[in-house]
This record gives sequence, structure tokens and C-alpha cells, in this order.
Amino acid sequence: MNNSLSLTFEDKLRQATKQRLPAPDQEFVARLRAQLARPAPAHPRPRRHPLHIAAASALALVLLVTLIIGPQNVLAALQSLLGYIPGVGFVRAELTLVEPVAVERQGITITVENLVVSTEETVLTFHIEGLPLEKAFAYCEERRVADPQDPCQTPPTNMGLQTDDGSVYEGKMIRGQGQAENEGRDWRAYLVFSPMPLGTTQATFTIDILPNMYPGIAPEDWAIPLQLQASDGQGQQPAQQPTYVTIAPTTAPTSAAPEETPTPSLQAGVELLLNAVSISEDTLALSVTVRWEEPNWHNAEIYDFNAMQSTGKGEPLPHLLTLTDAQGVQVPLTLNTLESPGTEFGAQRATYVLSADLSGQELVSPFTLSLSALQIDAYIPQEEQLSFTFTPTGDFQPGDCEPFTHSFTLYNNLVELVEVCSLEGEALNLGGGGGGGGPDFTPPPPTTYGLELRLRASDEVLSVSVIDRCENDTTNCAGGGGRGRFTPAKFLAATSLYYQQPAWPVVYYVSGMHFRLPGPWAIQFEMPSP
Amino acid sequence: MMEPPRPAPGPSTQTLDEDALIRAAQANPALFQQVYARWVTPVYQFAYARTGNRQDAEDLTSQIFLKAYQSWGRYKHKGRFAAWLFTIARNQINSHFRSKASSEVALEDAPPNAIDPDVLGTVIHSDEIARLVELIEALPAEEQELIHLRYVAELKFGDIALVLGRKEEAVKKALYRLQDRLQTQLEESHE
Repeated sequence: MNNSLSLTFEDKLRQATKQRLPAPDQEFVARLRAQLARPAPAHPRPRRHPLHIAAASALALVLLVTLIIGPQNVLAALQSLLGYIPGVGFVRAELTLVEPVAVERQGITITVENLVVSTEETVLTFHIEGLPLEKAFAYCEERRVADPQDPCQTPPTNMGLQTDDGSVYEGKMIRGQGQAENEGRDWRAYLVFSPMPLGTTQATFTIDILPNMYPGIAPEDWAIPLQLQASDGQGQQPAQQPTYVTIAPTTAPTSAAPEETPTPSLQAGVELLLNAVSISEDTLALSVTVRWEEPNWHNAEIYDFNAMQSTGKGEPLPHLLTLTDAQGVQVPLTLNTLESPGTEFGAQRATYVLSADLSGQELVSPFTLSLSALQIDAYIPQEEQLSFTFTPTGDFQPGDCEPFTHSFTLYNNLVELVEVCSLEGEALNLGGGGGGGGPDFTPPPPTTYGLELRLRASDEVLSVSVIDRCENDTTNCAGGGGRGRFTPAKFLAATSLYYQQPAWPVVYYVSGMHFRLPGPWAIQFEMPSP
Repeated sequence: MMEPPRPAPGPSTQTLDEDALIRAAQANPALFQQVYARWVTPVYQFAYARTGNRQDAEDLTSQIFLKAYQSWGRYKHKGRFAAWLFTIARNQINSHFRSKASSEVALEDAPPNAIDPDVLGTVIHSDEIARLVELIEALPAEEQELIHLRYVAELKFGDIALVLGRKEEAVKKALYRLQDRLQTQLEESHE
């Protein structure tokens, strides 16, 4: 094998295979990302207040909109009102479900909780209870007795909407999957369909095979009739729905800022925007966008990464936004990950939806929404990456560490390379014949060798990506390295993998950094007390 | 022993070890979105390489990530996430072709317009690469898959071995033999 020849030819092969393939459409990527969010924790349905309070709130908001944007624009603003619907987010609902519908067959209940039709999409929220998982496991075991290699995959579940004129809409995306409650016997999903005609009054939700089920072990071909009604667009939602009124968009601080030196909403190339505020009886929802200039930042997130280590499964994710009223009362905000589109790829912006329970609180406008910091995920283009070459000494063996002292500054963060340690086998924590959990997973192969590059950086740096591209050895180098993780000695460590103990010069490239960008950014806005 | 930093040379593969991200996402499934961000393009391109059209590639990419997300709670991370993800991808794609058996068109038999002409037109700028594309498309499906796992998905040999259920050494040898053969064919076509 001629390695140098092979390298050149590998580049050609890569060109011939990869470059003829288009990148995914960014809109598709963003939409799928929005679907891949954990369902938000179930919120108790808000208590309903007398209608006149909601009506008064609506009137107050209309007056407020008039004051803020001027009477000539009120009509346009009202026409573009967004409604916030828990589990769905901010949508301009044209049609909604008259009431939730539940159908039970053989102990399995499917409940359609909501159907929201906007001009852009139709979103259906439903859940299934009582899936017979034991039957599915037994079925799979039987198949594997006959053929141990049988992957025993469940068939795809086709879910559709059929309208009374015979049109069929295929459910394209699912924003959430079965929740862990009841050991996976329940399943919840948010389906997205093409928008249905606004005159639609009846539709049928169909499912051929239930998710995670095999043919013949659970009732199939479900057809659930749904009744729809128009949403009037001014907050009068049908029964079973809380009332929502929205100011939208409010993208700039109001002039009523009482602080002498208000915190800016734009600094360090990052801008905080408030897209929409929605108030129901006792629930506040906010749509917030972070926009940034730096093209190498793939994500700018409001998650509080440092606080996540103590967050249990199913708990709301900690974040870095705070909401405070004029008297300094802080209103806890819950980040609704399911409803948050997150980062829009290529657009250098990320949007999040948050909600707060306002019940029993006496709050005073103006409110201040403040973002204390951002978690930035930066990827460095290859042509801009720094590189460092490590040449092992002749007797460099697994368990040995050699000093490797360099430093560099990236996004104002100083990073110091300290040493490189050679690892083998279990020390890599990669193999050992265990393996993953899914039915499609094959156990990993025997363990290999590794080089652990140890770094030091400030607490603002969450990880540094340092990779070996296998430039000096393609046969025995598996490469990688990547995102540093913390060792017990508080080093950041990036581990690259090898099939033999590396004895050749290893070139490390700094390919990314995940770090905390300190703020704050703040927006003030008015809203009536609930 | 050590050299000062210097700007990196030209393009090469970028392999990010997602260890920290995977571990964080296991603690907080909402971070699966970041895992998705890291892998959506290779998964999409892997699916596109098999299906040759945007719609199927998007459908499959959705199914692959949704299935991965569904199984996320059961995945035990031991540094082999890519192998796990592409095992799902491969199974999903195979299932797609099985379920559409009547209309399946094997890649080697695919019509010339199976891949967007504009993509081909803008990218193929040398006869040699164009010839190599032809040679790859003429390969049996298993060999094309090997090429795609290595150069589209950018998997390590060990991960490819996991995905294909073969020994790592066998994967390496198969790929090197395949490279040699393609290289010979390419050189012969110049003569």
C-alpha cells in the first residue's frame, strides 16, 4: 500500500463521493431540529378567570399596542396577532379543534388533544396510552429465536389527516416522542401537516400501525373523527382552550426604560430580541430571539450548561434568562424546549419560547428581560484552524505523559496546552464489549490506543475541539479528538484514537470551542398585570 | 518535539469527538438537538447517496433522527455514537428500499438524472473526478456503501466495522483493495 498515493487518491474519492451530494436544505434542517426537542414538562391547565378579566386585558393590550406603534399600524398589528398554544408555540391559528377527542380500542386509548390550522401548517397534538409493549417484546424474541440476526425493526407508522373532501395529508414531522412515563407504554407526538383549507370543519386522523408495534399485535387502522372551528384571531379561542392575547412583534426596548444606564439589547455582536408576548389568564409566554454576527458560531444558546449537570431527566432545562418586574420581583421562566425552534442554521439566530406562571402574583410594568450570558458553540473553518505538532519520543508508551506546552487565544479565551498522555484499552473508556441500548446497536470492537491532549482554560470555556486528521498516518490512525471533556484533575482533555501506539508526529488542529459569552443583554417591555 | 502554531493546510476531513456533547445530551435529552446539528449533514448525504433524490433523503433523515431520538434513553454511550447512529441510518434506508421494493431502483441502475443535474454540473469540474464518479456508481451496492460510510459519513474504520457487522481489519482491507482497484481503473481510463 502506497500511503502517499493513497492519500491523494483518497482526496479524489472524497471529492467524487461527497461533493456531488447536496447539503440538506436549511429550512428542512431547521424544521427537523424543531421536531427533535423533548416534550415540555406537562403544565397544569391554567385556572380560568372570569371572561370580563380576559376581555379587559385584551382591551388594555389593544390600547397598549396603539400607544406603542401608533394608531395607523394597529389594524395591521391586530391582523398579525400570534397566539401561543402550549405544546405548539406561537402560531397564527385559523382553525382549532372544537374539543379533544379520545378513542379506545382493546385497552389502548388515543387522545387528540389539539389541532391547530394556520396558513403555514397544521399541527396535531395527540397521545396514546396503554401500548402493549410486552406483546411487542415477545413478538421480537420469537423472531430472534428463528433468526438471531433479525434486527426486528418495527414498521414505519403512517399517520395522516383526511378531510371531508377526500384530501389526504401525511404527517411529516414529529416534534416529540414517547415520554418515559409509564415505562414507554404511553406515547405523545406533535405532527406537522401541510395547511388544510380554512373552511374545513371535519377531518379524520388516521394511524395504520401504532408506534413501536409490530403488525398483528395491537389494533390497527385507527380513524378518529375531528370537529374543527374557526379561531377568531383576537384571542377568542374555543372551549377547552385558554384565552390568549398577543402583542407582536415587540423587537425593541420601549422608551419607558426607567434605568439611568439601561443594559443594552445589542452588544458584542449579539442582539437580544423580543418577538412576541402572550398572556392568558395566568400564563405568560415569550418568544425570544438571539441574533449574532460571527459566522463561525453555529449555536448561541441560552441554556445554562454549568447548571445542567444537576438537572434530572424530565426537569426543565436551566437557562440564563431572567424576567423581573419594575419592583424587582423575579418571575421564574420555564424554557419550553419543544416549542423553541432553537438555532436557525445559516441565519445566525436562535429563537426560544419561555413561559411563566403568573397566578397569585402582583406584578408591575415595565418588565425587564435579561440574558446574563450565552453558550456559544463555535466551529473553526479548516483554513483558519491553528495547528500544533506533537512528536512522541521513542519510548512513549501507554500510561506515559509528555509535556506539550503551547497557548492560544480564541474568542478572548486563553487556552493552554499542557501535556499529551498515551492511553490504551480500558483507560480509553471506549470499548470493553458493552455497548449501546437500541435494538439496532452492535457491540463495539476491541479497544484501541489513544492520545489524550490535556488543556487548561478559564471557567468560561466549556470545551475545546482539538482533532487529529490522520495526516501523517492513514493506516493506524482513527483520528478524532474533538470536544474536550474534563478529567478528574480539571484538565480539558481531547482524545484521539489509533489502531497502534502512535510513534509518528501527530498534528492537532483546533477546530472549535464551546464557551460562555458574558452579557448581559436586556429588553424592557410593558404589559398589563394579569 | 514541538513546533509553533501555524495556519492549517488545505481541506481534509474534520472528525469531531462528540464525547462531551453526547454525555451532556444523555443527561439532558433536549441537548439532542446539538447532536442532531453535528450529524444532520452526513446523515442526509448518506441517505441522498443511496436514494438519489432530495425528498427521500429528507424523509429518511427525519426517520433516522426520530428513531435515534426515540432510542436515546436506551443508548449507553461508550464512545461509539457514530456507529450507533449510522447503524440506525443503514437499517432505515434498507427498510425504505424493502418497503418500496416494487419501485426500487438500485443505485448502479439509477437513471442519469437520479441526482440533481445542477448539483452534478456545478461540482464536477474535472474529467478525472467525473470518471471516478462513474466508476463508483458502477460498483456493487455493498462496495458503494463502504465508500459512502467512509467518505460521506466520514466514519472511522472501527465504526464502519460496527455498522456493517464485520471485523475492522476486514473493513480496512476491503476498502484499501477497493481504492486500489478504482485507482487502477482510473489510470487505465487515462491511457
